[in-house]
Amino acid sequence: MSGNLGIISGLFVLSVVSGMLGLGVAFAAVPFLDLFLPDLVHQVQPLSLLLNGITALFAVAGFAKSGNVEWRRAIILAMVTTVFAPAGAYAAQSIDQKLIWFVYFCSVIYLAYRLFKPVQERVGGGNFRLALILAMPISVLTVFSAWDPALC
Amino acid sequence: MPSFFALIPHLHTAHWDVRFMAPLVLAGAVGAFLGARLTSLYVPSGKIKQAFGALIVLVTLYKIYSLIR
Repeated sequence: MSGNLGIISGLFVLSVVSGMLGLGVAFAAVPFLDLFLPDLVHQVQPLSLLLNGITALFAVAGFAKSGNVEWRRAIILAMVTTVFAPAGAYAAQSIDQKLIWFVYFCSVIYLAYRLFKPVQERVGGGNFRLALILAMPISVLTVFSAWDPALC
Repeated sequence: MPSFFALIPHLHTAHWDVRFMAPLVLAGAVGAFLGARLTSLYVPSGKIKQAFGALIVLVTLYKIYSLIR
């Protein structure tokens, strides 16, 4: 029971922090849950994806309440990533778990660099068409390791 | 939405334990909503990004340590 309380508390903290960034919790939840569940593909990944969807929905609700969601672009991006994401999940079913961890660790290095890099303000709204094109492979790769396309 | 659709390939092979999952889902939903509201109202996002980066690196380093131990 106390072990479960530790998992629930840890996940709550991870959810608050990822919710602050408007993300699902999967990216942080994968290594965290893997400490307690032995099977990456059949236990950790499905639970992380479920938690990711739910936490992302509630994070959107939190931001939307303050009027901070650009709905048109968000819906288009969500549709594109939704179409391509299952391909990553299918790939993960038939690939060695060590390769999944390798992809995950490489992603952590890249994202840690991106998160610590100073942000330069852009003039205009950015290149949305390019973002849509990149969202296709990104959604496959991110779901392959059971984390969140929004992090990219 | 992408996460829910990506669950489809896992549906037949996943090992679900509803009693274990239900409190995690509840904690995740409440935590994410609180986090988003906090950011919207009070906290600058640059610091949060770095905190999140540090948190993920720490959890991942522990995972690597547990793999090679």
